[in-house]
Amino acid sequence: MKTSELHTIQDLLVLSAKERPEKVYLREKAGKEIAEKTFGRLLDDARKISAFIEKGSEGKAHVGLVGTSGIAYITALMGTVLNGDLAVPIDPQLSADEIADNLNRADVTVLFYDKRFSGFADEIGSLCPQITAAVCLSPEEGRHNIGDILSEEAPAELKSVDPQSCACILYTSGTTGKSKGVMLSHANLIDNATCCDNEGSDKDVLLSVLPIHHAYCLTCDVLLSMRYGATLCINDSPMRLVQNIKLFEPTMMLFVPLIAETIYRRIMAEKKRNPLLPMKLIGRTVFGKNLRVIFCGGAYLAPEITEAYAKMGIPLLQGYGMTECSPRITSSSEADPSTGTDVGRVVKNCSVRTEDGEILVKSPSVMLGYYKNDEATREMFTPDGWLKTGDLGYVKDERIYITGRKKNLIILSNGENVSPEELENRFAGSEWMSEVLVYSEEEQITAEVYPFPEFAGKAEALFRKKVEEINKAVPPQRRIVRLRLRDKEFEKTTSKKVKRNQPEKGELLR
Amino acid sequence: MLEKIRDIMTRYVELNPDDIKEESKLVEDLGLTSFAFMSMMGDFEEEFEITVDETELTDITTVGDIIAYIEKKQAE
Repeated sequence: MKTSELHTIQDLLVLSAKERPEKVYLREKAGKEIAEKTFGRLLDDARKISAFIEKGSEGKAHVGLVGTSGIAYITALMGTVLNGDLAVPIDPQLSADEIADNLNRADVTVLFYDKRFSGFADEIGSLCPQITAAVCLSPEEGRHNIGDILSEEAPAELKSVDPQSCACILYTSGTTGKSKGVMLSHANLIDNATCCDNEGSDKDVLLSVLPIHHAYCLTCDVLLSMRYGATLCINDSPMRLVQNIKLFEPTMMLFVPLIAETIYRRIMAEKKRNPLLPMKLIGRTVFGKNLRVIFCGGAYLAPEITEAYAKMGIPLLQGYGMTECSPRITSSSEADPSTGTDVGRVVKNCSVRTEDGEILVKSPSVMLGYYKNDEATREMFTPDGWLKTGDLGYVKDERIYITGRKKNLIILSNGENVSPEELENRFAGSEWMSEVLVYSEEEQITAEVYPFPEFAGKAEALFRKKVEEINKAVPPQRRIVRLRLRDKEFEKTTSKKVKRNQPEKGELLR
Repeated sequence: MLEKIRDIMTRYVELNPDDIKEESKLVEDLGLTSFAFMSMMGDFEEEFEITVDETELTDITTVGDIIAYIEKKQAE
């Protein structure tokens, strides 16, 4: 596929269907069978979805998607963006209230949902009154479902799509607590899906294991495999990754460090039990005979993990990026791997510089802005239009070296960003508590509290109870794991704000 | 059953099997991440020949909860 002919996701869909109409693009488990969809069929189905959306909407429709990745999900997503409507994939792990809030803030009027969210869809009238159509992604009887659309709807004509128009809104944690909707255009996503060459071919089989509401999955699993004419298999659950690797025998996968580390730990446990087993053999047993490469991004990757994978004969290649950059800023290849201290080479069309130690980016992949949040958008850019990554580091020979974080976000090893302020705000209204600070300690979310002295005796029990309450309300990855209680006030800055880096820590409760 | 569970759990946490007790909390005491927890449940699925439903896992916080869940599934 000539990348010079690609300007919009519509171009990508049309060209891939033209070049390989009969080639299988998507595969997933369906009971004991495997369901498939070709590139040709995907375009046909996307046109039907587009016709359905257009029928019920005036102007550009905003279409929410709630669920986990799958053939139906990707079909609905592609149908949305095909003729210029806007997709809003939502994190399915959020609470019903948060999902509704994200849909409402993105002005969503059409919803596609996983059958697990049927209860949510039944309440949609009160939760999201502006939604006029809700479609189930699986053929559930008695529910308006995607099967009805694909069997009845006449395909939409292709319309001209402005490459600069917004294709999707992806939510990302904000430093002020409330998540922000990152607007990515067709041009942003296409630039990022084509910013490296020779990563794959039409012989490749990818196993998609990351959540589809993440830019990394959207660009590098979904769009990248389409660009190369590769086959994308869907991992139906994190529970069954190892089994699915055996089933689909992928040649390429995209990981976040958490997944790489978990599998590494499992392999090392096996090695401990059978010390004579060569690492390469263990690697083949776990990853199958076809796996060629794993790309890893989203958070810090410890060099010993990369080394262990190398011993198994699997290059674990590191990249760096953020949702606001669609997401890739750097990448590594088998011919040009990161050296262990850097996070890869700056991708094509992307310029990087530093200011006061912070890494700044300018590239065609950089977002349009945050949806309906001009203030936050302004804060993200320098006056001359460079995006502030919030990461501290330096650039040498076109490679980026990260040394720290400027902003408060906690980056977990699954690539998830957690806003400490958002968790701190959840302590509001605790009459026993004077101050709270949330931070990451040894990769674990830690809450440290200074109670009012008159509550000193009861503070520990109240603190534990409050954390239990908060942990019930947030997705598993955002739960507070460590608790510290202090008997002294936190140190403050001159403007009387609690300093994020405290020289002394309180007593560790757990 | 606890023995088998301990054996599988030590694939994910660097602990002696004896340190894993029924009352151990998965996250707080054993340091299990959410992804490792899910992978482990996949292993239990194979080992005990049960079908795990992801939506039923939210209330599992201790090793004892896992045992109860597996026993419930085996009885179904």
